[in-house]
Amino acid sequence: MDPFTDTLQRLREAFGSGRTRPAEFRAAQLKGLGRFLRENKQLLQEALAQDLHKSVFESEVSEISISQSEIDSALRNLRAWMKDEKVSKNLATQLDSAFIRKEPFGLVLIVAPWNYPVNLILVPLVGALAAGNCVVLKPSEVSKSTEKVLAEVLPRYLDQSCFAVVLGGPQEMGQLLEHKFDYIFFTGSPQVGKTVMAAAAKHLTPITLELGGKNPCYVDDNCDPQTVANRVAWFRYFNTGQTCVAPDYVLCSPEMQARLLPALQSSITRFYGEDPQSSPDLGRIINHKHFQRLRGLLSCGRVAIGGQSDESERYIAPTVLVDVQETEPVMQEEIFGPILPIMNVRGLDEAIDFINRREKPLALYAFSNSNQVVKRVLAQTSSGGFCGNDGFMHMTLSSLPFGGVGASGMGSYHGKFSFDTFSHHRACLLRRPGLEKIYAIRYPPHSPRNLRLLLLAMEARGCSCTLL
Amino acid sequence: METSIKGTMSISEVVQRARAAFNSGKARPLQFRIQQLEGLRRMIREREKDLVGALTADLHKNEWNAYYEEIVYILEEIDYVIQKLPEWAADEPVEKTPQTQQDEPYIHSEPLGVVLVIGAWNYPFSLTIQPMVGAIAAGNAVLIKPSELSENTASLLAAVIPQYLDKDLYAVICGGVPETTEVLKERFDHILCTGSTAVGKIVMAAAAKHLTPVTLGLGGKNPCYVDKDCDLDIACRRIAWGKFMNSGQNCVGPDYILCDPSIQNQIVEKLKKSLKEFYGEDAKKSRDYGRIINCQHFQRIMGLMEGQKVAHGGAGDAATRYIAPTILMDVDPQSQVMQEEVFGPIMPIVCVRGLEEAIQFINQREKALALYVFSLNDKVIKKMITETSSGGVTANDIMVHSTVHSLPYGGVGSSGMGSYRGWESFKTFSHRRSCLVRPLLNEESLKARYPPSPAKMPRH
Repeated sequence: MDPFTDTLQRLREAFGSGRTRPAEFRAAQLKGLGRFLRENKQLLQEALAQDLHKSVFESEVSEISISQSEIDSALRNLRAWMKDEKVSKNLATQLDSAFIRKEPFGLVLIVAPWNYPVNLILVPLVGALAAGNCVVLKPSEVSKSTEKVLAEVLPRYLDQSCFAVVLGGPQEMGQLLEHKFDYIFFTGSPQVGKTVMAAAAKHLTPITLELGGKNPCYVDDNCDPQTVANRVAWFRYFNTGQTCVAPDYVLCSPEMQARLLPALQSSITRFYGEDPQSSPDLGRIINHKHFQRLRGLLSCGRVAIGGQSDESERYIAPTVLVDVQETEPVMQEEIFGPILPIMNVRGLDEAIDFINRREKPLALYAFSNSNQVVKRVLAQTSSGGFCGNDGFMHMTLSSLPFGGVGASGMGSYHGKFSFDTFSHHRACLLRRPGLEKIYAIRYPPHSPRNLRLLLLAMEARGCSCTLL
Repeated sequence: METSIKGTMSISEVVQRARAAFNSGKARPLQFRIQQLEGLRRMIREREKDLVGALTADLHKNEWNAYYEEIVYILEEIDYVIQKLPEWAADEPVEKTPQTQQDEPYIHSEPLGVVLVIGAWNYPFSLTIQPMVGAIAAGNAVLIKPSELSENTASLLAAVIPQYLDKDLYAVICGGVPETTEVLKERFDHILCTGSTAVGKIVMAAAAKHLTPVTLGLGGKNPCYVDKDCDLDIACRRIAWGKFMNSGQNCVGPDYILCDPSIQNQIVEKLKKSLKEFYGEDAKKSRDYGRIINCQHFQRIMGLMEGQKVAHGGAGDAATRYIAPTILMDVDPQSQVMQEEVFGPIMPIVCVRGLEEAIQFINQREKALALYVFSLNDKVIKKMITETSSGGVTANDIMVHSTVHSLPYGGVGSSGMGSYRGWESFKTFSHRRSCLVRPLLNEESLKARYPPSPAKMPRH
């Protein structure tokens, strides 16, 4: 008997009782979540500072505000999202009522990572609650302080018969995944994503996987280096580079590189001062293991900017590497740290080839004064999302679905997409018992005459032949 | 192993060839995709006779069945998709935020790459080709693996598809379990499989190794609740029609009836009456009545009648794989016929007292692909739908929800995941990529976001 059986049983029974179905209940949960954020803002900021040395600014902008605005959006739109969606009918179904009914799946599991431990657990939670599911949250044990707040404080704001937080490391995750869920939402590495999908397959559980990759950042010769450097640097070093959608590496010509380097140095100094280690705006690496991993990457290619590290603080300076070989480790794994390698290409074609030789990333960036160049990069590559001339701003619009493709994931969320992700879209057709004469043609015995009529109808364009 | 590609290409080579063809970009222009869909349409019209012949050989479908149950849907889907494709493939602008007023945010649809469609044997043509239509429209290369149980249709598809469609982008792989296992080792960008729950798990597990998204159209026991307040003549005619079509081998057919004991006899009588109208005194002699796909299923279905109260039918002929339209009364929910998807011409009737008990009965079981409710009372229908779940629902008829192009076709829980048909197909086989394009100007307006944080913000 594992530690989760009772909890899951309880939640399943609660779902079966229908408690989470009414809009009022769901709205109450969402409001509770909103109160949790408002009443514990400082507590959360402190936890994020402890876990990641996250500045108050970053906590506000990338964790708390974003979660709050998703809650507000869900509350505003809940009833509209819950409504049956009428669909267009064909000739044969004109007199019927045809619509899509949105239903909760049942018991949902949300597994979150450590890099945005508030945002990446609460934003999916908003969708799951709005859609009327019972939810099990599994925060990352790596971001320990935030995990504690989520486990001890969050449940007080939600109906605990329909909601639970479970804790643990890889072993507990394994045990948890043996159980049947009606939906699993996972944010993490592709490697663990495969494990989650394999476990889900045993129960035929539908999933959304938000994974990672190496997000390319193409910088065209035709651009202002300082503007580009500001944008690339900010999005690269935000959260100390521990962002699934951060620009992972730059692709540009050697000429552009020469212009970009001093500009990047200028951006870094402007953002973090002469001594970035003492800047309150620069975070730290999450733990020792990742620190060691990243320190190892500093010896790839040649350090053009930064390169310093301090083990006692798990500090790594904002770094730019040049003269990197594709085969070196820094180009073989998702960096997930404040290191930006620059790879040289001769022109757009080579850049596009380079990108397309590799796995589809979660995000892709292209910088150019020429709209044509930006559009070409977009048209000839694929990625979860794309931003022309900036970093991961596309994530901030809840009207855009946020998700990966290929090795960077499957499924998407944010805004209404969250609600739809956590709902089963049930096709409904309500017919009247009358009008039987119209449908008579479909019954056997099938005469040659009826067949001729059917074939004639098939010939006629725009006519629905499904005379059901 | 038979493939549509001449010579001795291995499965791996077929997949590589499709991938290379996809990477060449030739399937990107809409005009190309439309041409291929028109090719498919021409294939169907020109090879109608062969198609009907194959379906007859596989499942004893006559011309009417073949057209009505399979061919017509595909032709409609092709026409609908061709018409809508420019609209679906266009960039979709989305609502801007205050911070992105100067920018262009939109959703850009892209093909995924190489799609695998695994077909089923009960509607061997439409269940393979309908998903293929969507995958082609979305700009993918498509490999189809028709079911080996409907071998005539499979061979025909292997022969004709390369005659009408681009040979590199679209291929047919034939074979049974060994070939399917081999195909599943390859990497695809989406797999759509129609089949049993067991096969669904195997496919999803194989897909997990490559992080390939899947759409699974599986099965289940589709309940059919008949209310006391109902026009039984019409209900029974519609139920009989939907149940015994294709000799019961229909994933959205009604699997069993739930009704109050007081109307059970009437239901039996009216079902019998409709069956006689449809198939005559002896269904074996009817041109319109199908046959069981193979001996294994024949034996399985005959076995389900054991120990049951047979109110009608019950006869079977192994030589022709004919099973008479059969109705079972007072069926015990614990008996075998209520433990597995019948997928044959046996209609078990299980008695329940009232709507509440029916809903409880349904909810104690796995979610089915389809749910049916017959009643003149809107409240009954509303309650039944609200308090249960299933892939789809039709009230007061059978199967119709699965024929409407604007409704998604798919399961939930053990009856499947994901959906297709019409625009759903296009979305299923596309990556909907979020795009934001900003000008490289206006750096001033973005200054506020950069560090150092404002002095008045508390520091650690």
